[in-house]
Amino acid sequence: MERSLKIAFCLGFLALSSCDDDDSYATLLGGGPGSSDPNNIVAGDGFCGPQGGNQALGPASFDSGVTTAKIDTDGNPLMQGHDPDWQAGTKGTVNGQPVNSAKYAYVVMSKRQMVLDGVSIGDWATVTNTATGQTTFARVEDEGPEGGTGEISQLAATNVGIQYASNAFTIGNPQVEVVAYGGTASIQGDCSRLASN
Amino acid sequence: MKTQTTVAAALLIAALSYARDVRSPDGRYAIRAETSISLVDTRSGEMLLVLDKDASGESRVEVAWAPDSRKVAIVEDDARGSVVLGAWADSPQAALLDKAFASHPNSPDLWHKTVQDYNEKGVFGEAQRRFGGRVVKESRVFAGWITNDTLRVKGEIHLSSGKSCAYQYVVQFHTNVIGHLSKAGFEEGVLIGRDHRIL
Repeated sequence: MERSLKIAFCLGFLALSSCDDDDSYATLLGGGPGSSDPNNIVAGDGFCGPQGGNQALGPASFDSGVTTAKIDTDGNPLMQGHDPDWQAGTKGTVNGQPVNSAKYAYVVMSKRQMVLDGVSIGDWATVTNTATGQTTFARVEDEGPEGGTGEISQLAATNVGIQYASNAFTIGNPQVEVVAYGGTASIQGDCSRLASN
Repeated sequence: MKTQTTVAAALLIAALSYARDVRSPDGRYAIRAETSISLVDTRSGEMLLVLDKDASGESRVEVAWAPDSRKVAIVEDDARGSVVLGAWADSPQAALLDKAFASHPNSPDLWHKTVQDYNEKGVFGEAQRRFGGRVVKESRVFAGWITNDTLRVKGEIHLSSGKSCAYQYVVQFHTNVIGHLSKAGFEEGVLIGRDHRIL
């Protein structure tokens, strides 16, 4: 409960700066309950992690390697006017609405990489801060420009301890590794681990 | 040359909520764009290749058949990015050799699929140096076949500095190359962009 409150507190600040997470509460967990299936969303924010954990995802389809993290604030209406690249919509939706960057851990992939590796919107992914080893589950929820890698949502960044300024520019030069798992979109989120932590 | 450029079939599809076929110049094959994008045999109706299993939500799809009907290029544009896909039929000689291994042995041609390699790093880098910021959005359109293997492409780059610029290049099928097979069955290293320049 205490940790849930901590997450809510951090989200309350729109995740404009990262939570100071010293006990890895978010390791391999997203935010709260949720699913990218627009017809089957349970109450709460975020995607949590996949039912069955890492084992349920099977082999990775895409691995970005170590790359510079970039923050995508799309879908978060409160970032309009702050982030010069902000867009109201995301390719994926939750309950028919854009996927809010501050509330959901998601990653952005180029269309080329998705087609090549058989990854679709809604598939599960992991984001790892390569400097600290912190990892979070996320979903692929937006398409970005050719050649772009390491683009992650505000919540995904916060979950792995990456800080950013109010204009969404990262502080320092954080490096991440994004791994995506094709054909896993239908695996529902499981938030029981979050509640038990 | 004039013939080659004028017989190229192209179609812009704004919404993929219903099927649209873009036939090859000889009418033998078609690219079918619906929620997925596939290559179909127009005589049998058989689906020969799935080029994109999830094309829903793409803002624009453009199909360009080569004049000889043996190659087709497709550009998909989304809100922030684009991709150039391609498919080609083996030469008749190669098709004879491959037929025993073909998934559709009754089809007269064996078709392959590919995605253009990421060859824009240089021109994107140049745009970033000249105009500042990083690439946040890019789009592409076809600008006509030059030969049966080569197609001109024009693109637009939007940078986080708020500036944008246009560029162009040519993309060429190298069908004699044995491409690396991707996890989704695309042969990489076959469709190569070159001669990029900012306009």
